[in-house]
Amino acid sequence: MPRFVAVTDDQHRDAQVQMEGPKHSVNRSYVGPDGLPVRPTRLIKATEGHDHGALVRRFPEPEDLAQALVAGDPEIDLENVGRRVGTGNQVWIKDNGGVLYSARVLKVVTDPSGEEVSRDDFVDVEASVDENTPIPWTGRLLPTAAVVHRFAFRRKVQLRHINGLTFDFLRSMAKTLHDQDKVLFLGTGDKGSEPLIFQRNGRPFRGFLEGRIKGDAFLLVLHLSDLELK
Amino acid sequence: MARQVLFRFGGETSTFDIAKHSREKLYGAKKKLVVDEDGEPCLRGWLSEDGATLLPPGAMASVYINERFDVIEQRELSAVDGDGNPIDKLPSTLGVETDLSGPVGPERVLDFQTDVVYRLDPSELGDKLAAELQAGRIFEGRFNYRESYEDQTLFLLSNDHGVFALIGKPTGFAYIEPLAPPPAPEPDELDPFGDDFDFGMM
Repeated sequence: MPRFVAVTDDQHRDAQVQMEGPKHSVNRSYVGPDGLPVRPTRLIKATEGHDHGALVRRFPEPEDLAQALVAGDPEIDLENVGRRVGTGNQVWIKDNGGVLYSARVLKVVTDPSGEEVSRDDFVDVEASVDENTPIPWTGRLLPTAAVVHRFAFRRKVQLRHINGLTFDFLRSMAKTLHDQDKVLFLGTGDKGSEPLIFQRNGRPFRGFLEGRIKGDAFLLVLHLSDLELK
Repeated sequence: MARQVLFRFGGETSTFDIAKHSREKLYGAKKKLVVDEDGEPCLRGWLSEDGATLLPPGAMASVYINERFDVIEQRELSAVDGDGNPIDKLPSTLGVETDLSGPVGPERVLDFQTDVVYRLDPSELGDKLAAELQAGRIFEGRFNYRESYEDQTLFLLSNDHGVFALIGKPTGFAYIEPLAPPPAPEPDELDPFGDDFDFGMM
């Protein structure tokens, strides 16, 4: 499914356009020693009730556990081990091996040294970018070299037109940036100072819009950073 | 012992220790923790659709199988291109002198998406490279953490906080020509933020 985003130009006009991520095409596959093609799959290694914790619960005395291992194969679920993992659901497992039916989700914050700073109930952080709320044109133009030396861009999306009008709209934005040889700082909120969050509980990014023009063609890329070079 | 990268530039060799530069080290981290009614942490598991099989963490094995359903060990795999021709592995660039090219413009860096950032600690820094980095210039080289079938591109730059290596791949974004039709949705098109859940943000 294509993703759409609403953006605003320097004339305070907004339009809905399409976002597209990089396409890393890899023309490569793997073969085994006999030259036969292989494919990745997931197999069941062990099931609940046969892992170390479960065996210790069943045989609290080490001698009893050792005896059970000698006498049989309680650590192997012969029915399931080696089968392919099919469709299923993620669940949470309690310390006693049981499935958790009522989960409490906490947010644990640690500082850069790894020390816990706070522990609170987790509150979802909603996306701040969607196809209906235009990202404002902040007017904060920054030299490209300065931005490249200060931020690592770990996500990028190309902005693409969805019709003839939005081609002209995006090309005009790209030309504005190209002519000034600068990138535009982008954020959300009225002043564009809030981070760009593209999905619920997603990473918060700072955005930098870069425009290039070649003849009548254009390239408009939103460079996203969640990491400073410092 | 720290991993090292060695660059050849202007007839000099510069050597740097590398350390991964991450959000956790810079800002700290925010993690999601699921607890039971007694406040005890729970582990993520998997339950089969019929509810008959419960898999605790670490109970799945990711393996390669062939058409005869034989499991093939990772070390026995080899890569081939689209025509079935073998592809040679590329050696690791760690601890090996590699050439730097450039300087390159900042737009060149923007043509790549950064996957990993390393902070570089110079143990031996050539005068010429030091002067160029000090002047804000950016250099390009190849990077391969361990022997693999694909190199990545390295950009070397410095700022007031130190020397950094940005490791990434080209975005492949192309100019959009006039009268180009709007992009048709592809059935397997990935949402660029589909796997972007992050509980490490601050």
